[in-house]
Amino acid sequence: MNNLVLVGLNHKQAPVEVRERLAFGEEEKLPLLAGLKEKGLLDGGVLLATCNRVELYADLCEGRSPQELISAIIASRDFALEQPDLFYVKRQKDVVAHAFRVAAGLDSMVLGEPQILGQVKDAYFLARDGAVITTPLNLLFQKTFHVAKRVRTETGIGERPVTISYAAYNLARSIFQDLSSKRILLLGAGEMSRIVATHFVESGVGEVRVANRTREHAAEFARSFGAQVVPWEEFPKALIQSDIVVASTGAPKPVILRPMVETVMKIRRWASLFIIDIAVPRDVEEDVGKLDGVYLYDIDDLQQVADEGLAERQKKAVEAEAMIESELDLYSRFLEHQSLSEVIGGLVAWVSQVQDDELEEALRKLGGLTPKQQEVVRNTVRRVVQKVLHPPITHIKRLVLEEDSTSALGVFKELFPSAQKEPEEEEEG
Amino acid sequence: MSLVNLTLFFYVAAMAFALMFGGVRKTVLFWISIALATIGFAAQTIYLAYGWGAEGYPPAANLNELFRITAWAILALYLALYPATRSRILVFFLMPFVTLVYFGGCFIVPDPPVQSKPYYFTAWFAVHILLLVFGMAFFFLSFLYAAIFIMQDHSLRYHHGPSPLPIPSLEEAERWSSRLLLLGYPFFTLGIFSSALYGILHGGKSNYHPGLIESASILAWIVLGAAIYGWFSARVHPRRRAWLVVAGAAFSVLIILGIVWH
Repeated sequence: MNNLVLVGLNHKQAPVEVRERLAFGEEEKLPLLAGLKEKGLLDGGVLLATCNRVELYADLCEGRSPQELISAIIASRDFALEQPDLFYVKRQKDVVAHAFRVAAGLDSMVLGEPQILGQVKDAYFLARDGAVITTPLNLLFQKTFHVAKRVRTETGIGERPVTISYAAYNLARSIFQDLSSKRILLLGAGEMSRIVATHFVESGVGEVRVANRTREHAAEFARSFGAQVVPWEEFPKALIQSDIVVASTGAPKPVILRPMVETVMKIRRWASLFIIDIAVPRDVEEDVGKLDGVYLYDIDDLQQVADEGLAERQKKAVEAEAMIESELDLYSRFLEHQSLSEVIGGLVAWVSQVQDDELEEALRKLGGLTPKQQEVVRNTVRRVVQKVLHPPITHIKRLVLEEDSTSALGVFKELFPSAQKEPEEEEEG
Repeated sequence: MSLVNLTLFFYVAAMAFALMFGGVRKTVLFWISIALATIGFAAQTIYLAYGWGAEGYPPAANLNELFRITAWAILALYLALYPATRSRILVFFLMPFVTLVYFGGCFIVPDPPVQSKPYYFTAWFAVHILLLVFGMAFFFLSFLYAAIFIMQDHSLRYHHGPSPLPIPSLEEAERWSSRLLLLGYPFFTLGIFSSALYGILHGGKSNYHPGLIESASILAWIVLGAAIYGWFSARVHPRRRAWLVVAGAAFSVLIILGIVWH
């Protein structure tokens, strides 16, 4: 992990004007990484570019600096960034911790949102398929996916809704088993109605109908959702066949009244009706919520559900941070063990090579030895080498594995520089 | 270790994993719980088959045995219906109950010596016991879904937000509660009337004295019948139907108490 660095900026530091200038389309990401590799800036890299962040996880080439990466990224977008300090730089263990937090949604604008994990995976697969990934990056991202999955399943951080539209959708899922067989009626064609409806449409609600006082608005709105238009005066009838109603008309007085819904519910035989009233002043009489089978939520109710969801996610985030901390320790130890195996393996290979070369030279000089005598000499030298190597190897294993002494491994490497393997670059295809 | 204790061991272990599953909701815990429950169930099935073969009548002639066979029937139904219900969280509610009933059948309820009666060796007894026990098992699962419906409905009506447990939606809970009730009702009906019919056929009407068991059975039968009527006619709101199922289940418990009293 020695050369692992991260350069990036996100919604916390960089305003949208900067983020939009640094936005990378899908087709631009791989050429950028390949270009940086070609210039000898990095051996491998993963570019995570979403609307809220641009981050380059890089396995930096020897002698190169993160600032060179930042300059190269800015130069690729062909604009002069007045505040280059908007970029943050993280190294080694901090890169790992940051990757874990990002993939788990702890660094997102909407805490615990699930989309980011998919975006991180896409960025990794793009780099892997484009052959711009190295073993340290590969290990890092595999571990990151494992940690993010663990955080999601064990803390349930993404379960509670934190936005009004998601709260409405979540409540609908608590009422209905399968939204694809349900009908939604939108009363009013305002922006809030659109936001809430989008969530339902994207989740595959069965049928969408729109009723608005101005028919042209309803028609325009309906086109964007592939919905049917219901004449305003017929909306009470439409309530009978609807399962979810989103009301946001802007009318000064309620348009959905208790007697109207009472009649509707009798005809519906008390099949559940979920009414989302996001209008201010409210479109639905308060008493409607007291009817059997009617679940009425106004904007404040939804906001309360969203606020509770956020509070819950903040609690879960504390658990998640602790989980990440322990995973980080485990990962560091895993890398140390891996490093230890590499060093010991390198040492044994180097000593064996020296031993074999010297033995052959000595046997050649001695000459005339019988095969049995040669075997005795070989075995003696091997036993001597093994006995000499055994104490330092046992000692370094104990220091690293039991006493967690990372500096000991460094000293060991210093003592046996010839034993170290040349770094291998494994690329996954 | 006897098969009875072996079964208890696996049910307790399955319950522990079911409770852990409810807490951390890791799918692996659910499957471990199901695997352990299945092993316990298999052990109990062998015990029941052996007991039936050895005694010549179903091992349900005293209260202990009745408790244990009821736990067995509930678990049998859950395992058989899981591919259709796919309701994992149900195991969180169900396993503690199954284990408790089985435990009660092993230790809590006094075990009077069975006095063999000619009735036990007739097919009437086997039919009566199996129908009644499976009828009660259906009602118990129906009751669980009804209770989930009531919890979910209360939470949604009073804006308490989503349940911390991933319980089924209102629609799903209502659907399964009604289906299970409908499936269990014929079992229960034939179960209680087969016994009454045997009594009348072999002892005459003058010899038939309905007590708490019979009264509770009839009350449960009427209340649950009303819930079914409400479902078919769609004249009763689902919440009231759910409460009727809960009331029916309460009367079913009275049947057990009637046996204790008896």
